[in-house]
Amino acid sequence: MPAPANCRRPPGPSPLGTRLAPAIALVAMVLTTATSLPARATGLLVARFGGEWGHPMSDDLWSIYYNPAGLSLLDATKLALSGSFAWRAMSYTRGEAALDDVLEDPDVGAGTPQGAGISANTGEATLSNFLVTPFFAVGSDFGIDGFGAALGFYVPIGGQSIWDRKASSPEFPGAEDGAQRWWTIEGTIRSMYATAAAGYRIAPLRLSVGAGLNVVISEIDNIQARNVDGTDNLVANGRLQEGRARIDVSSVDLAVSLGLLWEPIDHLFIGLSYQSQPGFGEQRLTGDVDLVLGSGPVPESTRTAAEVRQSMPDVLRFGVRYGAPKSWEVRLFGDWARWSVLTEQCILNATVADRSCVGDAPPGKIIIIPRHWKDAWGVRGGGSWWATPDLELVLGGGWDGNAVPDAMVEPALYDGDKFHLTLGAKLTVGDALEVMLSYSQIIYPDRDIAARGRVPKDPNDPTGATWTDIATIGLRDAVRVPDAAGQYTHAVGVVELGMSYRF
Amino acid sequence: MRPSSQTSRRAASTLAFAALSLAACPDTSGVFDDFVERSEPFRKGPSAGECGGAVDLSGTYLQGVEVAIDRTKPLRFRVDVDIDLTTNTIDFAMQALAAPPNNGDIPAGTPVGEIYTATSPITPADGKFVLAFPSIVVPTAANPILPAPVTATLTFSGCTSTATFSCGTIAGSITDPVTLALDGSSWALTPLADGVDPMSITLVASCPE
Repeated sequence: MPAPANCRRPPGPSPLGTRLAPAIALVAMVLTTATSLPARATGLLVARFGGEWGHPMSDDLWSIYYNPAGLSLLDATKLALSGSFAWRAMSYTRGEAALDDVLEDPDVGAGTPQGAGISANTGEATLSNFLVTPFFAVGSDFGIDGFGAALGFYVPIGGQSIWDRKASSPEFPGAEDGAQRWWTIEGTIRSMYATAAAGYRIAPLRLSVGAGLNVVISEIDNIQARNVDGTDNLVANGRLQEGRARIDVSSVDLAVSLGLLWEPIDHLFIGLSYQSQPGFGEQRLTGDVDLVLGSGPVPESTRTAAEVRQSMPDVLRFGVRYGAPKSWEVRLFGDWARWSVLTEQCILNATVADRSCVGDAPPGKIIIIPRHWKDAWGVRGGGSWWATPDLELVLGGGWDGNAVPDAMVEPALYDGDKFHLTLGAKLTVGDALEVMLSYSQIIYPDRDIAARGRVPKDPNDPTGATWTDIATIGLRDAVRVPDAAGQYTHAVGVVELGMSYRF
Repeated sequence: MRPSSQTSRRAASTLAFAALSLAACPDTSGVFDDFVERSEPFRKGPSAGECGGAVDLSGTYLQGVEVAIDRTKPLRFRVDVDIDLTTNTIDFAMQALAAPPNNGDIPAGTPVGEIYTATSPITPADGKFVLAFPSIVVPTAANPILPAPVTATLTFSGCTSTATFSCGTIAGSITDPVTLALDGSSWALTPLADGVDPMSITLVASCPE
């Protein structure tokens, strides 16, 4: 089967590539096909490269993201490659109570007709995806005692989903895209980091300091069902109402990281690091929006130049590890992400000079998706035991909090409280090569989101047309989106396979 | 025979590519195009109405405009029509009327925004005309669909059906705040006598089916 148009595959082997095929394959994977894991920490944070060895007390190349101060302990020239291979299963069951309006007569008014209409706009939507997330880094101490610097590429923020198709409907052409289609049918949101970082150990203080500069490539590519008024109405006066909006935007921003790693006594490491927001605040992603709305003929061009405004969080990481080398080690670490900065994803017409996301009538508004996420944190604990000097066995577990309040839960960017358990091993081969393998199971308790309830569109006509009540959840009409009430189930399993090579 | 080290490299390469092939990529363009194709049979245009010949329907009217993107929220305009059957021309002057729910403190039915004019020849045999408005701004107060002013390029096609009724179809697009085609929209005129509240009249916004 040919690859979809926007699936970027690595090039075929060349003579040079034949000799270096494995490395080229992995690097090509990193550079050209980076996908994203489903949410594994809080919100959209998915950084778990390095498995149980990726944490803010690390002394390996994983520290390029978790804590650049750890690069000061590299003590060699090293290369690290890893891949996170994840399966993800999710379901969303939407009930009739979430609909904006239910029509007794499909030819009168705007809404979801009873019977087949309700079936086309509710029910269970499912997703079963397999995802790959790469990590690549190379670093060296350059022969300088207490110094280390590295370059890396990885995907710490984002998610991707392709929802299962449903049976088609002879009356409602949107039905086969599933009950979750008002939020996403297929889509990606991710931020890929290219990082240069360095760390230096101040020996008398037993303290390492580090800093990194990130070039952040952010992308949003999503398609969803959409109506001009933000409702989930299938028809209006007997004619098709449901449309589609496709968003394809990207940006390149800068971000920085800072870190401290203190070893107050031998083999006790206390780490603290900070990752700034991409773009140090609001990001502006540019690209296109394709829109087809209502029952009219589809125009020759459906495209509008678009700008998306959003803010990703800054992240604080902290932790401690202690142990006896090649014998045992225990670790406790956590992170806190300022997800409260993600209040809206605002999609504007880029050709409107005075475009704005503010107010009841934002100039140039195409779609404003309300988020209003909350700050979230997570904590992990784990330990290592060396069965032999060359074989380290690890066990870890933890909890990550939920960044998405009930009123803002929807299938496209889902989050919830989650527990995880990890088993793994690292094998040292000779003096140079380390190979690590681990499996993590992430367990999400189900979420059951209550419907907003319906209110009259016209307060002076209490028996007339309805839509869902967004005023009680603090939203204005300009950011109206359909009600994503219903039952959510979610589970993720991840195999982390990586290697580190010392030159 | 291939050296064993080369074989192992090829195997590793194959494994990496195999892993990639299992991870499907979203194809949002394909999904969009698929919906456009699938929904095509459901995209019914409005009736163009029956045309009998050139009729003088000069007067003041309430114009209803039903847009394809949301047929349940027609827009209202006050229209002055002036037809000259000696030159076979029609002059059209239209101004938006405030209407709920975005009219704020402006009483519903109040003319708002600019008066836009257009002139068209009338075909004597069937009374057909085409009125082009290169740029019309509908103020927020007169926009029942979006709480925002809308700029549109509109072409009204129609004919002089009777001495008190005219209707037809609309081509064109919204150009601000977003580019949206309005093809498949419709309009109709209902007489508006002096002193009559335009909100008290049953609005007609399309030709009879």
